[in-house]
Amino acid sequence: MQFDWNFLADPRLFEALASGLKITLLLSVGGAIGALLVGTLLATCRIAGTPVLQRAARAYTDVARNVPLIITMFFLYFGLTNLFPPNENAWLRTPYLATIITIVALTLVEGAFVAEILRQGVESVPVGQFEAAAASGIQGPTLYRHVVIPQLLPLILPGLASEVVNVIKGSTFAMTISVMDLMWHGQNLESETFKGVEIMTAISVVYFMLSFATIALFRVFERIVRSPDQR
Amino acid sequence: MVILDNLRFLLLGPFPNGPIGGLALTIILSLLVGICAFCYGILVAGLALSTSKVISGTTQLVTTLIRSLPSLVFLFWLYFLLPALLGVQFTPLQSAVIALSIYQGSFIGEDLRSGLNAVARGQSEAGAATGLSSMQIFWHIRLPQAVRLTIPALVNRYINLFLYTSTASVVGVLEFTGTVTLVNNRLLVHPIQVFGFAALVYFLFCLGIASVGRYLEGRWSWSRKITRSSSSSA
Amino acid sequence: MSSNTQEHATGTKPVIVSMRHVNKFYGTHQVLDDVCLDVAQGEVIVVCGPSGSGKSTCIRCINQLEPIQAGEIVVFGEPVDTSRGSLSRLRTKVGMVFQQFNLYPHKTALENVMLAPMKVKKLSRQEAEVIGMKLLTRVGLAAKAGAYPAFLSGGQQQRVAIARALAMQPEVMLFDEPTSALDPEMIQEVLDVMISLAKEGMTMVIVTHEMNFARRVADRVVFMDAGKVLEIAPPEQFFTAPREERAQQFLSKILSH
Repeated sequence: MQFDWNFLADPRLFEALASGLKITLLLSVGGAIGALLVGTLLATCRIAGTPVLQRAARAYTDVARNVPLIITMFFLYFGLTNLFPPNENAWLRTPYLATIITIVALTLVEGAFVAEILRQGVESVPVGQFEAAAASGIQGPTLYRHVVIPQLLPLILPGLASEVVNVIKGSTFAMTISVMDLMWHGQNLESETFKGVEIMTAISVVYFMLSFATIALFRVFERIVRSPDQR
Repeated sequence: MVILDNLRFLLLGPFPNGPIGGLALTIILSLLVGICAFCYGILVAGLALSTSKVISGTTQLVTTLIRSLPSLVFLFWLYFLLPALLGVQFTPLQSAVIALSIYQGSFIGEDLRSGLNAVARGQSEAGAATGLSSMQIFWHIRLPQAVRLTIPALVNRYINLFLYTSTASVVGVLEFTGTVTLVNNRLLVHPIQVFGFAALVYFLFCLGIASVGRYLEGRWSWSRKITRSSSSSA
Repeated sequence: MSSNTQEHATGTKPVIVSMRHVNKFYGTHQVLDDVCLDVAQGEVIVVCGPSGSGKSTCIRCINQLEPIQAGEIVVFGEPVDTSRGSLSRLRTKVGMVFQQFNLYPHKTALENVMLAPMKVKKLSRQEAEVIGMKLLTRVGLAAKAGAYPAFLSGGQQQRVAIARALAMQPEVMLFDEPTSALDPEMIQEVLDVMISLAKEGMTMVIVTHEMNFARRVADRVVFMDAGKVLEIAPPEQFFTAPREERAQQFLSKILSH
């Protein structure tokens, strides 16, 4: 097998990677932030909501985690454009529609996973903490801000790191609705140059780096929030 | 109703006028990949335990790299790499089976490795004291216990495996997601029904897998469990 | 070696296990200090001493579950080395019973006993089953052959563990605090099995805190402290008039309650 090392220096490859990376980063950051927000909302509903809200949140989480991301994306994209055809609805006639829908899909699906991690984290905080706080009359937002969250963060950060990496992985499906992310550009270049192995190796390296950067970033967070007894 | 009109295609693909596809193919694919990935996972977990630092280090490195890639990227990479490396052209289906088996197998291997570490040391010692070789101890004593300990993580992994057979549709395999997409592109007028139906089917199957998991957990409830060493991913 | 150690066996039976000047370190911490001990065929040796004295480590070195840094251990005339072939041979002749039983939880009692004979001695399933049932009957648990360890009491589990060790027809049995993890009411059933084994002439090295049992069954008592063998004496002598001061202190503490 001949690996064309020279191709790795080809400006076309660099251009494809650069353009694609921009969109992939947009999808990943957007998806991650959205997932964290939705996840927090869902977890709050499940922990502190009315029984109806709790059951609704539980049902949503169960469904969202058990449907493939592609199906969710197609459902939203084709469903939305079917209900509100862009020809008749100017507000949908943006070239970024597919990108936005991908971010929304990532948010909705990964949000459910984040919610589970947050919920499990809260349940891992020893019951005694709540009891001690209640005994001193601390409750509600103060309780969460000063007692729960500081103990919660070290527990959930590794799980959150995984889920952000999953957002990055999920962003690759965007190419199926013609979002011009890394994979789309890679496919595009391959059909022009037929250098599939070289292109995909380069793309793989970029994704490695994104994953490792995310994990490293979260390790930094972990060190920042670590309480003195764990240092 | 559009789903009923196309039901045979959605469930079986072009069969019998072509190769099997649709939901049937998704199930076959999941079973096949499920078995291959499990074997690969056992291999990876065993190698990671090797006393040779070279072997265990390399295995860990390769596994970590594979696990940090999106499954779609790994699939495409292998799809181009295998013909170049081995000189044989693989069909999209074959590439998908190989790629997904290795990909999911890497995660299973990592879960099993946690499970193996959680098996009490005394178990190996008891085996060693009766003269069993390391291989025999691994196969008869540690691995069976590790698998039972790892059931919750494995259930999550198999749900993920089932859902992400859909990745194969991107390279043209006509499994369930593939046929659903085709039907939608053909008809263009009822995407919500079509994809809603697809979502429902996947959801029900996942409930099924989770139930099997709960049943197995109940049967083997004699020791503590590992829940998730690594979470699911696309 | 002090004069209080009768490390050589009395009598004319051949020496099966011989530990000569064994030293063992965990890092810089010395756990065994110039340990010398001979065990003759058919002898029952009880090893006792305060915790951390190295008594468990001592017998775990005999079947090489722990390596030694200096000295020699000779079993059946062969020096113990760590090559795989000789280790396997060694371990088929030396059986071990653990404090934590270490039964395989995913196998029934009978399967626990059958595993090694089938895999190491390559016996057929039927042959192994016959041996297994015979041994389970011998320890009084034939009725529990199909039970999983999770459903057995501690005493029953330890008796299965003894059957499992006996399945390989060892010539020496090592016991590492076999009753320390048991509730008091179950200790006697395990000791009874061990007593009957001793009566049949099995060579046994037992680490235990059960002093009354030691008095009944031991041919010699080995007292260890801080990694050293301080005193070896027949039980009547050791329990009534120990010569070493540390031994006297130990006995007074242990026999007072």
